[in-house]
Amino acid sequence: MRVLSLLLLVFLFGPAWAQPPSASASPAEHVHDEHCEHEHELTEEEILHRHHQHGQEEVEAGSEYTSAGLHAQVENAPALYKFMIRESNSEPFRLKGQSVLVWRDTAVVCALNLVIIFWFYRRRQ
Amino acid sequence: MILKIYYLSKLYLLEQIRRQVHLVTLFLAVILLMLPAYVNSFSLGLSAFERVAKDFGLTLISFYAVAMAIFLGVTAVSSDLERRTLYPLLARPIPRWAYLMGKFVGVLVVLVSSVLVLSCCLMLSIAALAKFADGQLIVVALCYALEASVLAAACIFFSTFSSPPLAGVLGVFLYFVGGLSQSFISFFLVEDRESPAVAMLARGLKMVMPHFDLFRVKNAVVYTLPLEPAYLLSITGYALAWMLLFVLLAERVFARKDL
Repeated sequence: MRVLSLLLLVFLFGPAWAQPPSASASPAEHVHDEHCEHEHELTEEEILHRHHQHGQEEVEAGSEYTSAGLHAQVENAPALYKFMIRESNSEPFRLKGQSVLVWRDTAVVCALNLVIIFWFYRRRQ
Repeated sequence: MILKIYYLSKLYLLEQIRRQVHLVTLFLAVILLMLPAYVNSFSLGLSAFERVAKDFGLTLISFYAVAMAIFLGVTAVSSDLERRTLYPLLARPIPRWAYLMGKFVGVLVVLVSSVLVLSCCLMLSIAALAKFADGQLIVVALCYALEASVLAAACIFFSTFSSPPLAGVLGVFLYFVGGLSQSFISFFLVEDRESPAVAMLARGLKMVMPHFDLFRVKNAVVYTLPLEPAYLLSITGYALAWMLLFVLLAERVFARKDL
């Protein structure tokens, strides 16, 4: 019980013990700032052209940020992922009108119950 | 006769309290009370936090219910046989079916009350952060309790003719094969693996087993979809029919047992 309590404590407070982010900018932020400063020097047309090129590259690379890229990613996804997408899409329709099928199955099981009960009483007599 | 079943189930309940089974429930209840706050520290928004907490919490409850159903169902009769406490009971004017029924009602009470306590804990902890108590959580948890009750009845039946470990394995097998959804079989066995023979075998096995996937309505509460009362009523009837079938079968085997 004590070990379990200890494990629970680690599970609960583990993330809180993790190092807080440092005050200085991270390498990723630093690169992003440089990128922004460089963009200020470019003209509007050049920026638009660069963004368009970037978008084209993303589509070709199958990036998840574009619809074409997302489609490509889903096509290449593992089977379990594909199945989960299909299940989540069909979920609202799964419950609709299924009660009739459940009642049909219930009737079959009830018939089986009656057979067993009759068989039981016949053997008793 | 009803009084005899009542006393037997009460006896079983007291025995479980002495075995401190409820401590497991309390342990999980503490986890479920803290879970939403823990998820909240990682989530990006309120809706995401609610969904993740509900999904994870209900999954925990379902696993707990299934584990308890297998454990309680397997040990209900076999522990009495091992400790020889069954013989003085059967020496009294108690029919064997009443003994089995008493045990099953006792298991049912332990399962349903545990699931109710856990779902209330989850609902309260989510409501404390989201400022909205979702009553559907309890309905979905009760569906899991129905699923677990059918499994417990099956395990009691298995334990009447086999050893407890074998009965447990049979219970796990029943849970996995009976829980396969039709879409799962058609996707993984037909479309993805292209093995129609295995799919046919799985479908054939599933036809003679309880369809546990019918009780899993978790997505309705996670994605705030409406739950049809007609559907809930139908799965309750379905679960009761299967429970009765397993108890009747268990009685047939237990009545013939040479004790």
